[in-house]
Amino acid sequence: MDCATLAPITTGEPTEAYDRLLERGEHRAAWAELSRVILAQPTSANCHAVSAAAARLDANSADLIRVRVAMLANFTAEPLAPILTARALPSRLLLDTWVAGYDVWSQEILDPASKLRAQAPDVAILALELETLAPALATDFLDLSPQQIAEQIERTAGRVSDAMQALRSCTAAKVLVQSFPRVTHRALGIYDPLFPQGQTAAIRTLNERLQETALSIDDCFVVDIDRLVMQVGEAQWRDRRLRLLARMPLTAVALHALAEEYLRYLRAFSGAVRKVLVVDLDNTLWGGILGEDGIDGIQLGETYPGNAYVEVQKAILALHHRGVVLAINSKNNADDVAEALQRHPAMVLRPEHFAAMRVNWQDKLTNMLELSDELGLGVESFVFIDDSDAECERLRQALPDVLTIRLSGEPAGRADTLRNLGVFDTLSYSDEDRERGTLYRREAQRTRLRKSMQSLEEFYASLEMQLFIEPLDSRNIARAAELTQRTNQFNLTTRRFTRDELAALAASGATEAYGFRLTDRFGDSGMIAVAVLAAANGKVTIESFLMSCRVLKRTIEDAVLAFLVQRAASRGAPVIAGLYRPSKKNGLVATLYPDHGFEPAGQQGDTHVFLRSTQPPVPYPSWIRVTLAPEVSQR
Amino acid sequence: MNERIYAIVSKVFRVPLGTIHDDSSPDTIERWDSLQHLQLILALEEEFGVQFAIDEITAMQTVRSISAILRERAGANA
Repeated sequence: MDCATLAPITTGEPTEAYDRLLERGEHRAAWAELSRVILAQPTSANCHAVSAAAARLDANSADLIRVRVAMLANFTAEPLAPILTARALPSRLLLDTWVAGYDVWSQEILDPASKLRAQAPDVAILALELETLAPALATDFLDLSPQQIAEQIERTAGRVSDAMQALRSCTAAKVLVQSFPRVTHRALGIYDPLFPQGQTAAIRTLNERLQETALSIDDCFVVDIDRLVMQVGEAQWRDRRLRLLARMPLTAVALHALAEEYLRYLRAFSGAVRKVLVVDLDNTLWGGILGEDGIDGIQLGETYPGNAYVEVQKAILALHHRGVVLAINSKNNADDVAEALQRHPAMVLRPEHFAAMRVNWQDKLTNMLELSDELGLGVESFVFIDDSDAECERLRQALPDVLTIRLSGEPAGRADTLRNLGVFDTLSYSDEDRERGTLYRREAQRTRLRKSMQSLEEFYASLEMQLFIEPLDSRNIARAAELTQRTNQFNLTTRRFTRDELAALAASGATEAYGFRLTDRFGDSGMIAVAVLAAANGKVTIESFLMSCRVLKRTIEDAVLAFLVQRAASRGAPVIAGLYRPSKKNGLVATLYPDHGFEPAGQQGDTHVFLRSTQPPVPYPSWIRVTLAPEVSQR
Repeated sequence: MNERIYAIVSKVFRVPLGTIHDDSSPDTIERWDSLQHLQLILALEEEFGVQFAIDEITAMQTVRSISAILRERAGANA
């Protein structure tokens, strides 16, 4: 954000309303108020006031996530702390930021009795400026012979790599290390990039070494400073006067940009990442009002401003592909919207990109809550974009957890505004992210179906579920292993398996490992459950049984148990045992075995044992069609 | 203009608005040390859209001197 163009601050304490709410013990509302202040005017002065005020918030009552941050820098980094703390608030993060003394980063990391270790930070940031770290490489480059340059690079890279390794061993913190930005005044001017021993090459080598080290250490990430300098502009980034006067080389603009970049990581580490983008339609996805201008009159196409709206839609589509769930919240006629989304030739976003829609004439607040319910995602994971000031203000007041963004001003700049929202950043990207929009859309369809059904049995039957039971083999073992790693709630023993471990179980004669794949009328959900049976001394035990939380409440576990008991019977075992190891997250399966006719039979350590005779069999639910893979039915 | 300066001083040093006056200085405001002075400069430059020279930064030792320097800047731009 460009602070210099913000309106002047009004007089009076910005935290008056906050103070009053805090006095009344309303921490949640107090937090919402502070968030509102900082989102409206994130000036440096306001960051001071807000971060100081935030220290009085109770994280539990306000439902905030506490994060302890340690900054280790070789420049005066204190000015960054209040900016980081204040800007973190709207993301529900309450930071406790400690800044180590000027240029003592090395000592702090190596000294066993250092304050850094006592801090026990959740995140440690190592910010080293090249001019101070290795002045020879930064400003005295041409004084060096190529031999000396190589030595300097080696020594500097070594120092920083050692520091990163040492940070990893002395704290459990996630580590962020700043990269070295490219120099604008290259030692050899235009010849520099062509000269192998030039400054451009030297800095590139340093950064490559940094990246190599980061990749070799768990939870260690290099923060790309080049990109920030590019975004802000070098002249706007560096402050020569303050560097000389106070060893603080960054402008206020740079500090804010740096803080926002760190926040992307902090959100990803804390799970405070936004997952849903809810959009208004008129003057947001297209120019004009659909209900008044008609499908041919809205501005969307090759000429301005229609092409600006096409870009906005493309930016939103890109988010969809990244794994952000899209939804619509619009005051419009549902049929008009369906037609426009389906048929308008320049429309980039189509109905299938949206997981849920509320297109009606009821108020947007109610719509938002219904969307949250239908998607099964809390409003704290929502971002809402709308062009109307009134709607945005209302939503902000009523649902402070939603990040409400007013897209105003010229349509030309809006696509960039959307692309620069760092609130969706995560530290991974998988097929599941690519598919997520589709998965949520299907799940919302199931939810709507359930609500329209008279009875649960009717609902189950209408889903037309098919369960495919397969032995684990090379084709499905990776997915099975991933499921064992990630499933926490419906997981009877929370045993985590690697591919190799599962492969060994599948190959052994004493164990059987199965994957369960589900399709229904809305699509293929892939493998959603894994079970491992162990046979010893005529007894069969369910060693591991876990199921994805996405398919809960559809009686699928009944079908799985029916199969497992049947397997035990066909192996000639009169009794089958089920194991349950309680964890913080699997309370929901505590009564699974008793509910299916198993009797408690004592404990082995922390694991509860339940026994059931294999006759009579557990009935398969009539609304699930179960298919055994040929290899299974032949056993 | 004075109102805006007082507001910034109040926020950066976390002291109530009512306790600030033209003679406020590092002697009267406990938190006003060299580090906080740096933060004050950043906030003032952002608020007024100016860039101070180094000698101006070191000269701003009271609220009155801040006012004077800013007025001179505004006068020069008028």
